[in-house]
Amino acid sequence: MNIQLALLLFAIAGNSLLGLFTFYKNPKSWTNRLFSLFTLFLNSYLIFNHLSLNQSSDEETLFWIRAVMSNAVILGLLFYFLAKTFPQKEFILPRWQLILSLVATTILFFLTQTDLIFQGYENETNNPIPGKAIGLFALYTLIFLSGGFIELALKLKNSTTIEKIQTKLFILGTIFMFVLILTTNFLFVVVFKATALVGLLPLYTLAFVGFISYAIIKHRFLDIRFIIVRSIAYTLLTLFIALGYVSVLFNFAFFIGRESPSISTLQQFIVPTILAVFFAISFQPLRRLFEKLTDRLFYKDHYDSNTLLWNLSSTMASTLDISKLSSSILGQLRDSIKINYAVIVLIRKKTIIWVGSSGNTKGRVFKGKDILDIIHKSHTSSRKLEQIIIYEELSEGRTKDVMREHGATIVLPLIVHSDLIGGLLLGEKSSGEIYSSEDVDLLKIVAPEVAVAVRNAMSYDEIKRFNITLEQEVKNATTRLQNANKRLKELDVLKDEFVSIASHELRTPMTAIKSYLWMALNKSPQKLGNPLKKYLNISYQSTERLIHLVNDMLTVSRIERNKIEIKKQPFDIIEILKLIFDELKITAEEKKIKLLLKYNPGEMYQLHGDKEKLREVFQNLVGNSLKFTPENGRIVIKVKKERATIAISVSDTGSGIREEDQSKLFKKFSKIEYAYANHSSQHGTGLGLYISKQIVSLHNGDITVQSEVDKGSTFTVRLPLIQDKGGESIKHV
Amino acid sequence: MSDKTAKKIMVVEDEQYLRELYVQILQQEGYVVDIAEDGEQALAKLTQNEYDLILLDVILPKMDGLQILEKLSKMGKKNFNNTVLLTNLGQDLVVAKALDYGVRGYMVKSDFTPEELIKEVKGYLENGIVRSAL
Repeated sequence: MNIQLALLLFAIAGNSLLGLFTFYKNPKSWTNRLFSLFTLFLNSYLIFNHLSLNQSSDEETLFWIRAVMSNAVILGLLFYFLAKTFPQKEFILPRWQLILSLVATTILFFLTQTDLIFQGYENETNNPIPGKAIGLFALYTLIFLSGGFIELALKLKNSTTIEKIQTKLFILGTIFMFVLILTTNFLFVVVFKATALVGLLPLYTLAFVGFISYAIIKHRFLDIRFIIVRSIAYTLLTLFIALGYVSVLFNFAFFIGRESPSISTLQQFIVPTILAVFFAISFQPLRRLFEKLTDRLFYKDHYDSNTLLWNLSSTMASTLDISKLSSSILGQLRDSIKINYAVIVLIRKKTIIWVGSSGNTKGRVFKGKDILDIIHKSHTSSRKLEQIIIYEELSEGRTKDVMREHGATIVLPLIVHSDLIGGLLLGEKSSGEIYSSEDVDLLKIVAPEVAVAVRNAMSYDEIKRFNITLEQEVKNATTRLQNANKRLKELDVLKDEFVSIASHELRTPMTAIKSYLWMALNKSPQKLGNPLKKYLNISYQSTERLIHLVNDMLTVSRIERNKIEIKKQPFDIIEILKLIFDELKITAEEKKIKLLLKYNPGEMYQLHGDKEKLREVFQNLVGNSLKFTPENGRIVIKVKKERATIAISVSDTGSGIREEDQSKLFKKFSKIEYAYANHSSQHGTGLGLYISKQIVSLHNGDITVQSEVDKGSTFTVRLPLIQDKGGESIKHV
Repeated sequence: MSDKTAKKIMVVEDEQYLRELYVQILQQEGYVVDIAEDGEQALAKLTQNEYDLILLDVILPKMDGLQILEKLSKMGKKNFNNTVLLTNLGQDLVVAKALDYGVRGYMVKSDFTPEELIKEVKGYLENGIVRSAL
């Protein structure tokens, strides 16, 4: 009695707790609301039930039995509603269904309080006397319970993932409870008249409530589901064994003893039954324990293939170094399967490129055609699906001989994407036993993984080696370049020195010639006769030309070494153009050429530049025009502004330049052919325009030419203009 | 021009014909001209005597023009205002170095006719060259 009360209180406390917890977890959800309401009525049901069993007078017993029935009516309704709503938040029920079920429940609720359901209580049999409408109650219960189950079954069928799991849990919990109730409170009572286990009922409800609240709140722990399923299995197993045992025992006693067993003898069955169940359940763990013990004793070489596979996988994932990888894989295989040696042979086409081994190979060399052949053979073995050669399975022949010679028991091909990359050779087992099928199966699983890992490591190794080679190559090339550069620098210095010395050595005698010719022409005590004076003049001018040539070559050399120095300062271009104009005016007059300088005197033509170098440029341009313009010709120097530039053009009425020659003009030694023909006396150095272009470029300007044969040429130099802050060119005030 | 007021010019030139030419045309202009044929001779004369103008060739036997400038500088000569470089070299670096010592200027021999050279010399002398004491 006390135990029963304790169980009841425990179950009520548990139910209440779970109900409240579920409610507070999400008070707005109708599933949670209905569920907590359900637990409330379940508790009251348990209490009423308990009270009905412990009354002294028949009237009181009947009263509590009726209370239980009323409560059961409400529970039926709530079960249906819960099954219908679960696990959604919304309570959705067609209006007619709601009204109908509420009306039916109300009617039945009141009916349970009348004689129509239970009209009395019979003390002798401990049973209530059913009324006329007891069938109605049964119908009501059947409809609501089966309705609930149908709803759940439909949900299970239509739902997916989480909802499916939740529904499953709900159904499992319900079945669990009903099976237990059916067994202990119905089967036992009706068949064996044993009521000892009836008091366990509250616990079943607790289990049921636990299931459903778990389904609502924490359904994501799938492991729990596993535990639940297992516990159900165990429960069913226990029941099955207990029932079977008891019934066999009972029948046996009945037939042997030929006497009806009394209830007291039935009660005596309980102890052996519990023992039977205990042994039945403890069979599995015990068996495992003994297996372990015997394995340890008799299978010393036994290894756990899962652990080995796991270890191998982690090794293969942890290193890319081919040597480390191979020795680690082979070492693990050897230690686990207990074999003398293990070898990995890598091949490419028809050659062995790498061999790695672990264990005692007794000095055997795994190279040569024999090894290559057996690896190929393992790949194309007659048992194609297997792709493994096992010594014991071979018939006598070359392959077997080779394997014997190398002490190899197993050869496995290493294959990546159907390419044979090598083989795995394994020696004999230390124990002398043959490889078990478990070993072979394991090796077949391992081989492809090893193949991939080894191939990756090889690729990595190759890339690494390639990188080293490449690095060395780059280093060598860099050294060569550095040396070449150093040599070039030395040569450059030598060239500078050479040009300087050469010009010095050339210019010194030329200075003497020039000076003494000048002295002869100008400071001669005797008056010079006409042919002599002419000869001396030609000599003098030729010397001058030579000196110019050397000077120009020096300038070109400076330009090409980027050693020309441009000293920029702001000045007015008219300043130097006037100087040139004045200087060359006399020569022009001698040749009867009209030389003009045109510009707007009201404007300033300021620019940043090297006065001396730019003077050379314009001297050259005007000088050229003078050379190529015939008598009575005309040379115009014109200065004008073009936005941000100053354009200085030198136009002549000279012989002009053919279009195809124009592009050659600014190149080194680019004297145009016709110039020799028509003006043989007008030799230039062929460097003047080249130098001019370079100097103009150093001033961020450009030089262009427009020309027509026999009409004349126009050379135009454009240079950046200095502008004031407003972007306007500076003007005279 | 009397000797008392005559300016004293030193010509340092190893090339005999040029040296003779310079001496001739300068003397014709009335200058007192002293000569040196190599670097050592030049250094010796330059440390002993004072000149209004020194025409200094760069490429010289025994000691080149730049070395002379260096030696003089080490001996304490601070002012090279009376010195003009006379060269046919094409190396701007040499000229730049000499200008660093403070020489007055430089002439490329081949670019000048005797007349132009005299004109240059006159220009240097008239522009108030201070006779510097060593």
